[in-house]
Amino acid sequence: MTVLKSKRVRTTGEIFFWPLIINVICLVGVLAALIGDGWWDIMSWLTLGVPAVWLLLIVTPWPNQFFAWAGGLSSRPKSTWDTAEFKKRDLPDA
Amino acid sequence: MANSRSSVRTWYLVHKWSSLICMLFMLMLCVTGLPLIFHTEIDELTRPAQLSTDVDPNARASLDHIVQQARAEKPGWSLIFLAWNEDVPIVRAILGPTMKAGEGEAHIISYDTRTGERIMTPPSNEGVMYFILDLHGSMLMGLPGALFLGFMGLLLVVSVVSGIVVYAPFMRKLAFSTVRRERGPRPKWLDIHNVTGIVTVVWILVVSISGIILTLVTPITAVWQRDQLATIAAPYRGMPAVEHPVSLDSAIETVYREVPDADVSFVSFPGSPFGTPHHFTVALRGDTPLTKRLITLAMIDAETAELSTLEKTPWYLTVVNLSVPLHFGDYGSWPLKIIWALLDIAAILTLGSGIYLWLKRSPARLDNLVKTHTPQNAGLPIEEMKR
Repeated sequence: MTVLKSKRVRTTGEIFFWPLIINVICLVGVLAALIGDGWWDIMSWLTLGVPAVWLLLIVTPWPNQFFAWAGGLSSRPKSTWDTAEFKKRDLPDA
Repeated sequence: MANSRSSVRTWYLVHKWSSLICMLFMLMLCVTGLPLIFHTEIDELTRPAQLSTDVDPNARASLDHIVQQARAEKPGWSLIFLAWNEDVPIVRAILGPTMKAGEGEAHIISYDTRTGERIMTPPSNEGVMYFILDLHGSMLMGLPGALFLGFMGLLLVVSVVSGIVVYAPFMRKLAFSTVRRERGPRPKWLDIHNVTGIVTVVWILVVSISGIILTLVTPITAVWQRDQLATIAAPYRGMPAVEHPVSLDSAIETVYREVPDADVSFVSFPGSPFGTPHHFTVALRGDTPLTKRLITLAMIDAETAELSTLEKTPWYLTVVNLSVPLHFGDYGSWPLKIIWALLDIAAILTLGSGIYLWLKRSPARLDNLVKTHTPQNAGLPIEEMKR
């Protein structure tokens, strides 16, 4: 995934917004299974598990390469100028 | 918070040095921790305890019979305590050459709580998993090793806190969770370091602080001996130690009489480090998932089998009891263990990427980094930035 590096400068609040939310969710996850069994355990698995799995997905290269490869499977040419035929056309001598 | 160039530099140096010093030890802890998360499952696969299945699950064998068998198997040794397993009907008898023997010298025998028969299983203080646990908890060096690792854990906490402070300047122009892969290895590993670090803050703090507390179990027990246990033993001061204590069954009977729904988690014999010379210490668990970590002590007079006192343990023992599940991650069934392992892997990535970034450092880079990432320089072209 290419990312456009934004030139916008973020405030401290913006920088810590998502990290804070995710960490609060993880804290709930750590404590929930300690408080009870059954539904409490399930709440732990979701609140702690989803960030954990998401984290490992964004740092491993293979999911990103897979998405890039999957995108390239489409055989529709991106533009009229992008086909092999057009590139092989006879050009007048310069 | 970082609001000037020298402040950013100071926090950056705190982060760098606290991380570098504890780095290799933390890596060892994360790597040895991975199989330890699953040690119950590994034990069950490699050395399962054979439990008879056609037994009444509510049967309770005579504890005196178990005590007699244990002492017969190791004549001359002292029976220090009995510990009940929480999930399966097994009680372990821990014997030592003396009443104050340490864990390494102990001989552990398992019995079926329903029938009293001996269960043939390799002792839990031997084998590969025990070696890994010993390495993880104390680097095979006993109390000094454990205390040293506790200090390294403290450095890790400093590293995490300073890392949060330093995270902000680095993320002024990057969206959260960006991983730049197209600009070479350094930005990529910096982004991986930042995102794995900031997302796992709470989990790493929980595991490291609970770990630090667990390295302090020996000193905390010493405090407990001088505190609550000394108070309980005070009326018996000056009296000779109990030579022939009453039968354990009669002591436990007293407990069930006084606390009808008692859930016994362990019994320590008179003279052990976890009691007084004049009492059986009977530790009772609470009955809800939350209160089962809160231990109540029933002190039974070893000569009269009467209840001396029924007390809650002090707050610092409760803290230790809560630190055990929070560190091991074994309190939410197998899905939680898998999640614990995934977060452990994320921590290894944070540590590894940190090492990589430090190895690929250059002096000019630090100056440049600090200069370009201070808030007062935000948005300015490089030529106009103030040093």
